[in-house]
Amino acid sequence: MADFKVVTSELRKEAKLWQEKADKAEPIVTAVQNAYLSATAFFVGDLATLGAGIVNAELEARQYEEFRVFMEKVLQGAVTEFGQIDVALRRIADEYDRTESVNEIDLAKFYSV
Amino acid sequence: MKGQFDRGFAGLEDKARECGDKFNAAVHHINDWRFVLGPAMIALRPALDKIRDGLEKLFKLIRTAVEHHFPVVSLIVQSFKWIDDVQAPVNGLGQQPTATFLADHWEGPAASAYKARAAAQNEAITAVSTKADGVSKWLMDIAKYNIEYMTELSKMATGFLGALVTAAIEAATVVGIPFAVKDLAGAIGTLVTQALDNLVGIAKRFAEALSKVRDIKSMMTDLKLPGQQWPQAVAG
Repeated sequence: MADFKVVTSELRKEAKLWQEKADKAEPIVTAVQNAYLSATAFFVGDLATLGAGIVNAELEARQYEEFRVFMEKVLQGAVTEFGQIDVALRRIADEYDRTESVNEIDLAKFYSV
Repeated sequence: MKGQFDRGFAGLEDKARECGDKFNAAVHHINDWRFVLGPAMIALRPALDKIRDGLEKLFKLIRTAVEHHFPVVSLIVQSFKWIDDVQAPVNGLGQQPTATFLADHWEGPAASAYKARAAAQNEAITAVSTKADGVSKWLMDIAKYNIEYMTELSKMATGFLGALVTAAIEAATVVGIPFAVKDLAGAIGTLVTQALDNLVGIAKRFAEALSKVRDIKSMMTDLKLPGQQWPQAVAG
């Protein structure tokens, strides 16, 4: 029937790589979580005394924080996704071992939780 | 880089204190002689006020700098962390297609479905790595102007102290006092103008570096990260 060939042990090896990635990504998420900077962290200068007509860094600090949150969210997503790919590959391998065939309809099932 | 920044603070507060002490000693010395100086005091007062104003400006600048010292250190540290603790490990997540022999042992629709998903993941990894680099560069630029600022402020404090030592009002004879005060007021005036000019210049360049935050904002939308999310290989 479906034209495919597979060595399921290789499929499981590949799955393990994704699990390792998920583990490696965890500390990165923590690093980004710790990357918060307050508005005072941007300049040592006394902009009021200098009277340079420059506003303080509050706006930029807020935008930096938005970026930090974005990076945290994205990387958190990566951890989740890597773990899910690991599971999906394992399930596909199991299915191959069981039935010796995976068709199109099955795919949607494997690539969703 | 952090060391360079810290050096700007070394002895800064001591210099400020010495400046204050010197000035107070000068004022005491003048007060001791005020009856002898008599009408000359009227001419001395505006000059003394000018010196005091200059010193107050210096003190204010130093106070703000000291208050911001450690937060700005955290900015410098963070700038490196985006490289060391984010970009480098993110790059480590990338996967060579030859890492396993799966590609040689798996064909068909299920295999190509996986390949497409794995490719999207790899692209997202590259995208995030570039972003970590970008934000690090931005912070580094900001840090650079902070260091320049501290170097200049430190020079200003040294200049003030030098002028006060040279004038040595606290040891001047009653005849010498009016001249010493006049000279010092002139010297301080020049120093303040020069130093403030330089500091404002640095502050402006800093503001320009800061305004590049728009580049950071634009990094938040990326085709490789659809809907500001990590690409989903597995739905849900």
